[in-house]
Amino acid sequence: MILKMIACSVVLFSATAAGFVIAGRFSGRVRDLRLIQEGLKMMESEILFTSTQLPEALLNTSAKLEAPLDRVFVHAAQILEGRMGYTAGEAWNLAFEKYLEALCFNKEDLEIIRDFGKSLGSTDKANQEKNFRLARLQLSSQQVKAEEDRGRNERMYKNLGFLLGVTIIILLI
Amino acid sequence: MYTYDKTMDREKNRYPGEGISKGRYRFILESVPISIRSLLSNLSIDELDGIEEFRLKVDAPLMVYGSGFNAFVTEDGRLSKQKTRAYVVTEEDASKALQLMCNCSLYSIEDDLRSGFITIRGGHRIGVAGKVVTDGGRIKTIKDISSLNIRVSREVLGCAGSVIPYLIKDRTGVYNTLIISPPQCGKTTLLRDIIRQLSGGVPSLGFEGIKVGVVDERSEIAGCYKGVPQNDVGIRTDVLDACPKAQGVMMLIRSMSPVVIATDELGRPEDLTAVGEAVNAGVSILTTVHGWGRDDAARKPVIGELLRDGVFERIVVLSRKRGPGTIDEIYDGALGKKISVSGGGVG
Repeated sequence: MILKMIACSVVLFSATAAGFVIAGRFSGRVRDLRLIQEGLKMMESEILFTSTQLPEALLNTSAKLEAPLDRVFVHAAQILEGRMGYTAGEAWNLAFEKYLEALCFNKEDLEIIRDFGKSLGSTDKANQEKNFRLARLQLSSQQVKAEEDRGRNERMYKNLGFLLGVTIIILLI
Repeated sequence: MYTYDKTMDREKNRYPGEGISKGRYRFILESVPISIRSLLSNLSIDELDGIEEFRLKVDAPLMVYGSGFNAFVTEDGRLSKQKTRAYVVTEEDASKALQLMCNCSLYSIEDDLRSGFITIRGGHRIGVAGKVVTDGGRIKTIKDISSLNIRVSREVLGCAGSVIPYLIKDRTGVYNTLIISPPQCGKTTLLRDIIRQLSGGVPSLGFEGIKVGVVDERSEIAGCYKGVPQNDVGIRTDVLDACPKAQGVMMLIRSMSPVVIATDELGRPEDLTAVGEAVNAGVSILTTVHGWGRDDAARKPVIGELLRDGVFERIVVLSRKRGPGTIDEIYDGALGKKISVSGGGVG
């Protein structure tokens, strides 16, 4: 009996946890979208107002940014400082690829981020400004969608996990 | 973060998998895309030492120019006279190179691009050509880069050794000096070493070293990267980088109390006033001009006038007779007489 109780609580616990993890990705995406917009804003002012070179701008931004986005910015800066022939866009994409697992972006978000990377650092100030504006605009509309998704799905997945656990237990008993 | 280490350990500056340390060519190699970098790093140090210019032109063979020679770089990283086996530079190569040259921050070199060149770490200068975008007659930027010319910056420390004794007036002063030289004869190299020695002092002559102000309009003398001189221009030298000459001379007189002001290639009408201003303020002038000898220089508008006014007390004439930087003659401007025996090549 005790063994059964333990097994049941393990099943219930893991199913609920799985539900929470999936639900967590919804609020994670909202967080990441908010952070990357903050990051872009900071980087934009470094570039437009002080003409800071990109590796330095990335590092300065990362220092003010929360996890997990800060690591991405640091990594991009490190790739550029390694001077192995990578352009800004390539370094930007490589850094996001490296931390893809830790980030909660969906395909659309990543598409915007990659498109932004293409012109990062490779044009004059006026066009950099346009590029930053466009990316932030697109990301903020993604954020609105992400918030809706979260409102709709977060609770559901949390409950679903718990209910799934209960279902399994009932079936097994 | 970007400290330029003068005591660079040659062994440490290796590229993974390449095995050869390229020492002072490191910053040039870093500024070209991997495709070209792997070819150039295949060249031996001796070959690299002979190269003055690396030329990247879209859809044309990769070329190098040295003193009196030019060659193609082949697809297996050798120098060759034959065009057929040469590596052809692609559009992507050129646009990537430009990005790498400015540390992936094109927006930070907008002003430099307008003047057609950028200076990278190590003081090397890169000339840029492409489609020029204008706005109301003013150059806005250059896009669709078609040609890049990397000019290797070489310091020849000590090359001014034979000239310095003629330029020093007393323990704390120098004569107003003009260097006349045809293009590519080591004019700037000589000027740079004169500046270094005047600034650092010459113990063998009992010369203590004086405050030198440099107006480096084209970033050729000090080769500043982010405002910090990459070439050794001496300890008492203040550099105004990328500053228009006439304005720079005035600024230095007012702000830095130099004993001598050095600039490269005087020749615009407004330079005349600036030089007059400096001489009136008791500041010596050290400058250069393109020309084949004293008579040729005298025919030039601004310099001619200064020569006739007897502003320059020493005139150094360079030639290529025994290699770049041969010191042909040194004149005393006031007496109009030759005061030196012909010196040797200086590099």
